[in-house]
Amino acid sequence: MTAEVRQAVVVDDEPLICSIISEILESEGWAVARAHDALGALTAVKETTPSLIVADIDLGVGPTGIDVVQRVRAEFPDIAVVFITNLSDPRITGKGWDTIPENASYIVKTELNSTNALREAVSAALSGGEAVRHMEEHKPVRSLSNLQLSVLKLVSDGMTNDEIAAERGTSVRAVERMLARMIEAAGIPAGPSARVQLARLYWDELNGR
Amino acid sequence: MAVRPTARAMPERWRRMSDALSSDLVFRWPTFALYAVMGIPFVTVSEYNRLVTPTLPTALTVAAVSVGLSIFLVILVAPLIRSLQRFRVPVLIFALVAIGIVRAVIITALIDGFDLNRQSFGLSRAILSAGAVPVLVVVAAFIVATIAKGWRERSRSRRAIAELRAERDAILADIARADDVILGESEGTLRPQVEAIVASLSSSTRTAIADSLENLIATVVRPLSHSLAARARTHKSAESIIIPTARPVFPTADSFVGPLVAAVAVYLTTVVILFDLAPLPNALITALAGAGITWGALRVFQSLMTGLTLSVWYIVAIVVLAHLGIGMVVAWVDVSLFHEYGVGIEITLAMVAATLSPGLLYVAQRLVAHLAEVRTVELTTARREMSLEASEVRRRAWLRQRHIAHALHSAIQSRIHAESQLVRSGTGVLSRAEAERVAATLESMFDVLRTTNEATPDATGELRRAIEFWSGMCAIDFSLDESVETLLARDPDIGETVLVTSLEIINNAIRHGKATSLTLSICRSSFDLIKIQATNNGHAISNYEPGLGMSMFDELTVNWSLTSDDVTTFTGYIAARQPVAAPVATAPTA
Repeated sequence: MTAEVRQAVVVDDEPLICSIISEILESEGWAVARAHDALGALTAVKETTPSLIVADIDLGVGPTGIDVVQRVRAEFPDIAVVFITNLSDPRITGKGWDTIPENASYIVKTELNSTNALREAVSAALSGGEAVRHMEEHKPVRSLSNLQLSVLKLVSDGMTNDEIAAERGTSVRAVERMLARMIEAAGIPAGPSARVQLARLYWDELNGR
Repeated sequence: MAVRPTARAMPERWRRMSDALSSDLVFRWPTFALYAVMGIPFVTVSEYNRLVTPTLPTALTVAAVSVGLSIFLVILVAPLIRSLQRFRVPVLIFALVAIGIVRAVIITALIDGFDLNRQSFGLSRAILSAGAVPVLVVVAAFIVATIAKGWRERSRSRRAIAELRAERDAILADIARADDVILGESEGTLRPQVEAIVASLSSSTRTAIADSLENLIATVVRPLSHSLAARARTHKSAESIIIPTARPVFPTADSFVGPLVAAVAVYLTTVVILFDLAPLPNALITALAGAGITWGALRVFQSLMTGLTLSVWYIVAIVVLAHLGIGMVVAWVDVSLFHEYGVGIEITLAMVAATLSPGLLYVAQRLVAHLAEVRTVELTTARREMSLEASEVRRRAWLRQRHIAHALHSAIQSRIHAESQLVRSGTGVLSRAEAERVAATLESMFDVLRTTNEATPDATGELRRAIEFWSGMCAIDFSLDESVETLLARDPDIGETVLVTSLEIINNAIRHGKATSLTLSICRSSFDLIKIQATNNGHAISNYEPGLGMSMFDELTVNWSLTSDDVTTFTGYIAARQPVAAPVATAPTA
């Protein structure tokens, strides 16, 4: 008697990554259908009715991996989900943590120190337990609100306080106060380079770097 | 066919007149100069008839002194008029009437002192001056205000063009800087490190190679990504011209005839000449008769010319001949009626000149107005063209940056990470095949960086795929103009722009607006613009809600708007200039 083959779909716009993840899963006994974009993933899901989907969040132009999972979950609510991405915080793409579907594992590629991380993430997703988010909780940016994050993005874009105030329809004083609170929260020493360090924080920590 | 001014156009003309008189232009030298040009001939004719010994130099001198005195008096009252917040126009008119009377009193006193006139003529001079000064100053101020308005509009267009050109140049410089960074960093920094890693593949341990690959990301790829991501945001002009401005049509022949202006000129000239020669009722009745003949004859002539499109020289010749003929008829009537008062050849000349001068002025005014309109339209078109060019450069920079960011952040990092994981997960010495794969992956980074303008090859197909993906969650009614589809296939830059913009609209409507039905229409709104319009039943989204790609629309479109009532409608215009002929000019040039 042979064990039942479990079906998975892997979607990543990078063929190499897609291939590596697929091979890891196949070595674990999964039958894997590969896709490189949203529609391809949806088609693969409909054709194979998998119990697991591993999706990159950033699929290039068009719908994201989150969109794919939401769309798939509408028809297959019990499917296990693992997100694998370069982004350490989905808010950088304008999505809140609440947009990550429930019971989904979320793994940052930089923190995939071994293939075991993927296996653990898959197990967690399949168990239907609480979502796994492999992001270091101690990182100061985790405590930033969505509003603060959007202002931080404008700082990192090189905008002045005046420009940020104009963009957001608020006062310059309000922007200054918000930046001061963010600098303090991030533990950056006050000084002329504090703003630069704050902008670097955006790129270094939020952008998965 | 030319559009004639209608009765409804009059209030606008009066409003412009009122604006001109309320402005400070009334007290500026161009108004004074124009007033002098118009006033001196009239005063010369009037004073010539009053002289004991009629000579042109004496009449001209008196006229120049008289007009100069009027200007001096206007300058004297200017501070008072300027200080008024209310009733400025009526007070100005009243002041001009008073200035005419004061001028008449002073000039009469001077002339009487020199014994130049046959008699004093104080009353007639006062009546004529009180009427002529306000009319001529108001007309001069109106003409100057009209010219100044056109000048301001053209200056504004020139400034806008200069700003757009500066914006375009700044973006181009930005692109050049990004190219330098890519070239310098990739060849200067990345290349030696990659070569060192490739050289170590046969001798280093797996852990050391994997560490080197991770280190490559931390020390080169990320800093490169940082420096490229720091492109300054552009500040696009708030005002953009969407509808192409058509070249003005050359006026038809009938619009070069001004019966009322010619009739008023004949009336004034008759009154001025006969005022001191014949009894006033006779002068006024004859002036009215001359004006009536002029007006009626020119109206008939105008109706005969209706709709005729001729070259400017034919128009000028026909108009001149018509005015000459009518002027001679009027002069003949006047001479016949006033023979007993000794009115002779001078009234013939004056009447012909009175009829002809406004005719020529009217032709000149129409031509100048048309040329000014042509110039304004040319500048507006140039400004629009420049705004489209700036938009194209801006979006190219945005797409390019997006591509590089995606390449560095996603493709390159992912590949190196993957290689690092693969190397780390293996055992033993790195095989030849593994080493070749790692080397090929590293080399591919340079290809990705060099290809900085990689557009989606099949934008329409990609868009249709995305629509198909979303169709399970939202009914999407998609229409794509055939000519636009051809254009998207032919121009990858436009294709990518339309694709990215359309996808963002759909994504926003479904993800954030929770729309269940959406209509997306992509068509040409003009020969050089693509219009994207999307209507959905999702909830309203604020224009500046963060994270919704609204700033992306600023970078990709020439102009966009979002309105929400029962439905949410996005309308955006994308520059799509193609080498197609601009609208053909329909008018002969002057």
